[in-house]
This record gives sequence, C-alpha cells and structure tokens, in this order.
Amino acid sequence: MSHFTEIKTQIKDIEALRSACQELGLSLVPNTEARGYYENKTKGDFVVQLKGPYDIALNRQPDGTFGLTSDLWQGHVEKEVGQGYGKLLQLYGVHKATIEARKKGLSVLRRQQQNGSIKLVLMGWEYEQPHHRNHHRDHGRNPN
Amino acid sequence: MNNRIIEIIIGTTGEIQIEALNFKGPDCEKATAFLEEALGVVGKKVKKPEYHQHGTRTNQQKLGA
Repeated sequence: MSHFTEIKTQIKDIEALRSACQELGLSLVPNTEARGYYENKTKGDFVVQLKGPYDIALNRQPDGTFGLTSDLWQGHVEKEVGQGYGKLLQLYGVHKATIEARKKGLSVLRRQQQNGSIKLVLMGWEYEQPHHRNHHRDHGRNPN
Repeated sequence: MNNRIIEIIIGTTGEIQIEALNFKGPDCEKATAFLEEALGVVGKKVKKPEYHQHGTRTNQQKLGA
C-alpha cells in the first residue's frame, strides 16, 4: 500500500537544528541574547547567530517544541533563512529525518529538486535491522 | 527482493510530505509513524487507491526525479 502524510515541521531536536545551521554557515549558541533593531535584545534558550544585524531566538515551549523569535525589520532575517524561517525549517527537517532514519539502520539518499524542495529516499527495510538502539525499531521490521 | 521505500519531500517553507511505497497493509502506517512523531504536527493522511492491494509496486515520478 501507499499513503501520503503531510507534516508541519516543529523544531524539537537541537542537534538536528545545529546541523541545519552548520549547513547554512550559521552558529547556534545556547543561553544567550539575540540581536534586534537598534540594540534591542531578546533572550533565547538558544540563538541562531546570523551574519546580518539580527539573530533568531529559540525558546522552549510548554509542549517541548521551540518557538522562534526575531526582528523581521527590513527582511534581514528572511534574506538568510527564508520567509517564515523556511530554509532553516527545511534543513532542520532534512537533518532530523536523516538522524531518525539512520537510528533505524536505514540508508538515506538526498536529492535536491529543481523547485527547491529536498527529497530523501529511505531504503533498507530488512527483516533484521542492523541497529537496535531504540524502541522504535519494530516499526519497519518485516514480520518474517 | 525488498523494494519498500519511504520518500520524504521537504519543501522550501519546511512543509513535509511523506510517502510510503510497497508496504503491506498496516506496515505502511507503522513505517512512517517514527517520522511523523519526530518531525512535527501531522496535517492530513491520504490513502492511495492501492491501499488494499498488498505488495503493489508503485512507480512514482516526482519533480526533478
């Protein structure tokens, strides 16, 4: 069978976010202040330090996800991470999905699409998973 | 021969579409559950016509593929 699932990305995993930041050439710094307009600063559990004048603050929400805050004045932030943090969320999703797939012993192929999307192909659903690191491993196992 | 794969398309605004191919019956839902849980809020799920055809091979063409 086949099915489609659509998901709205939520940032929960700092290591995946760190990989996304590295790919964008940005630093992720814990427990510091994000720069905003005219010396305004806002505290973040983590801060994505941008190359331009403003940064992105991440603060942990009651549901365990991280909320993103930044000064959107004049599009400085958007220029680096895309509208609505889209580029950052995209690369976070790529790295998070890759991390989770590899935990299950799957191999991951990554392909850039012409429309800017990134496609991941997860393969290697054998009846014996080579890695037994977590309790999710039963999900892809062949019943044989 | 094992041709079960999961394709994930991650768009430029962070939206994610997951498709499981060539899984049998409920294995399909199980196969993607770990990703749905890890990545964020699930919007909608669409079962494709071959849902009840066990082991059907599906050839998908995606943009740029």
